Amino acid sequence: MRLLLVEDSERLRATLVRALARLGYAVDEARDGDEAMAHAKVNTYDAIILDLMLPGKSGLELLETWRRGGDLSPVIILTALASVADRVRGLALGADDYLVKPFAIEELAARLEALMRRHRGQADSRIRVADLEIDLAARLVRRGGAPLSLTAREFSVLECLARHPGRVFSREQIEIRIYGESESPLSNAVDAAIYSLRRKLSPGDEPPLIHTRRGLGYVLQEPS
Amino acid sequence: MALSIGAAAVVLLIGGGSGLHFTLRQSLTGQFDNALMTKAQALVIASEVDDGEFEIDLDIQAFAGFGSSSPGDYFEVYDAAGRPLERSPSLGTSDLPLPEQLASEESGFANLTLPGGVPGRAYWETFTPSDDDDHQFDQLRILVASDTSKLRKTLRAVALVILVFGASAIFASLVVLHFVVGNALKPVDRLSADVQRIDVQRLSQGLAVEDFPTELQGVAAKLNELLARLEITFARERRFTSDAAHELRTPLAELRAMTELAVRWPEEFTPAHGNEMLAVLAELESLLETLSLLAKADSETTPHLESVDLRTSLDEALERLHEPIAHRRLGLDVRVTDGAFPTDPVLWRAIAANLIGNAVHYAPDDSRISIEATPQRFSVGNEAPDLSPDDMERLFERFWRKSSSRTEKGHSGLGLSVVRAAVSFLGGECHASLEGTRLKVEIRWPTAGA
Repeated sequence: MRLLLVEDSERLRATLVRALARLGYAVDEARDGDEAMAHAKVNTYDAIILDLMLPGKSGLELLETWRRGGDLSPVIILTALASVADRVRGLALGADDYLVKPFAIEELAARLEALMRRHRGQADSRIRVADLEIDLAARLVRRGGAPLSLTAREFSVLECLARHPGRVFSREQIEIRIYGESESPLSNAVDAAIYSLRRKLSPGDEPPLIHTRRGLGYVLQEPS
Repeated sequence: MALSIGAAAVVLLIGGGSGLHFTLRQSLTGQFDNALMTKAQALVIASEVDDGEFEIDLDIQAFAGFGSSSPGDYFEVYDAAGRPLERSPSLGTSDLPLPEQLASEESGFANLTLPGGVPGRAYWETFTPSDDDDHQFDQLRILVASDTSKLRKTLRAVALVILVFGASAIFASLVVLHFVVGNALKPVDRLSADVQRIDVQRLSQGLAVEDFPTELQGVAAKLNELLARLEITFARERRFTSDAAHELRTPLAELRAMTELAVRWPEEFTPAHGNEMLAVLAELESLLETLSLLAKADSETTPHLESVDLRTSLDEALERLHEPIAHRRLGLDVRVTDGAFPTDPVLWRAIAANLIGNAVHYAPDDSRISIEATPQRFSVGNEAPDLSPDDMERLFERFWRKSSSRTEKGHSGLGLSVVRAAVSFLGGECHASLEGTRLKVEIRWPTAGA
């Protein structure tokens, strides 16, 4: 899942980028309104984390510009402005959630997850494909009831496929969703992640769930 | 109130009524006694000794009212040994009861019970008939008595009249009083109701002064003045609390995120992270120091003014900034009036440190900073190529920064918003202007006596 983090505090931004990367998100960062505008123009994000007090264009101005331009990416406001009036103003301008500093990274992650789920019109944070169960909120994966241990990268790839079971994703489509702009993955990084993921999903002799569509990409679906 | 006035009126009635009754009784009794005395003297004058016999002229007796037809009046004359010599026809053959003091005193008055059991009053005196040449009838005593039941009846009637009229007067005046007092107190009641209705959240609304009678307008106006001052104090307190919370949020968020990252993924933690965390803590500490200053300003309703030497205090502020000034090769143009000026020393130090600190922090390397200080004004100027005239008002807003480069130098503190808060507490005004690329922040202190 790809996020845009707009935050002018260098320390907070760097820390959040690391933490979110650890949680399996691809994060692009912007330190002011102009950078945020530039990022949003060329990329589509699964969610945007937006600070309000920014140098130059304020967070609310950004939000207004995006919403007027038809960009409906879910936005969570992250700010030191804690008054009810500030919250209401943010939400009225089209923000989807509001988190006041200081906050727990865990809560930010949970809210992001809920936000993206709502955005997709999904009520449950769990996705099931055959006997595979993926809990996006808890970031847990089970096959036949037995928990599997995945790396953040593997989880991101699986999550990308699982959001739309049965749909074929090209290598580039997956890449764009799991790597931030600043990362330059090796050309076979996705293939490598798919390979290790397949092995972990079938630790015994279970039928494979990730299938290759030659020349098109990968798809997650029940074994035929 | 009406109740206590009523109680006072009852006490007054009882006191006044008794007084009136007593005076009246004294006066009537006096008249009664005078009449008794006059009768006695008339009888003494009418007495004579004829052929060795003591007698009193019958016509005079009748004239004085002691005839058999006037049953209420009596007299009796006794010789020196106390034997009856003569008595009024109204007594028939019976005697008057003798008052105890009759034997010992020459004359006097006494109350006694008359024949027939009616209450009476008596007067006696000692005399010697004028024509008693043989001194046969020396030292005679005459006792005159009259029925007092009429007098008593009159006094009772008077008491009744006083009681009835007094009670009705009290009742009537209480009714009138009730209305008068009620009417007179109506504005006071309304004032009380209005005061009770004052909303603690909106003290500045106050009372509608012109709705009250002139006597109360002063009170209402004074109340409004107090409320307005209270409101200002509350607003300052609220603002301080929210400012403080606001200022603390960003460093706390940084510290929390860094700590969480280090705890959850220990391999992410490096000594550089540790140093960053220490830097945030240092910022929090300096923030706390500044907030304590503002709390001091807020805890006092009027600034605590002392005489502060301008030059010494500014030199101190510059001394603390010596290192960054030298490091960034900044030039200083300082123009200070010698002498002292009245201010709160702690707040003044914070103002000077923040303003000069800001200038030093944001001025480009190798540029010049100008500082002018007189007892009336204080201004600091520095090059600010990235500011525009539109930014001037926002300079004083909390958290406002022109560009991210400004934040990344680790400059902490409340900056200009603190300066403005402290200055306005001291009664001064704060103003920022841009001349070309030069930013000038100027403070004007209130002129003495203003």
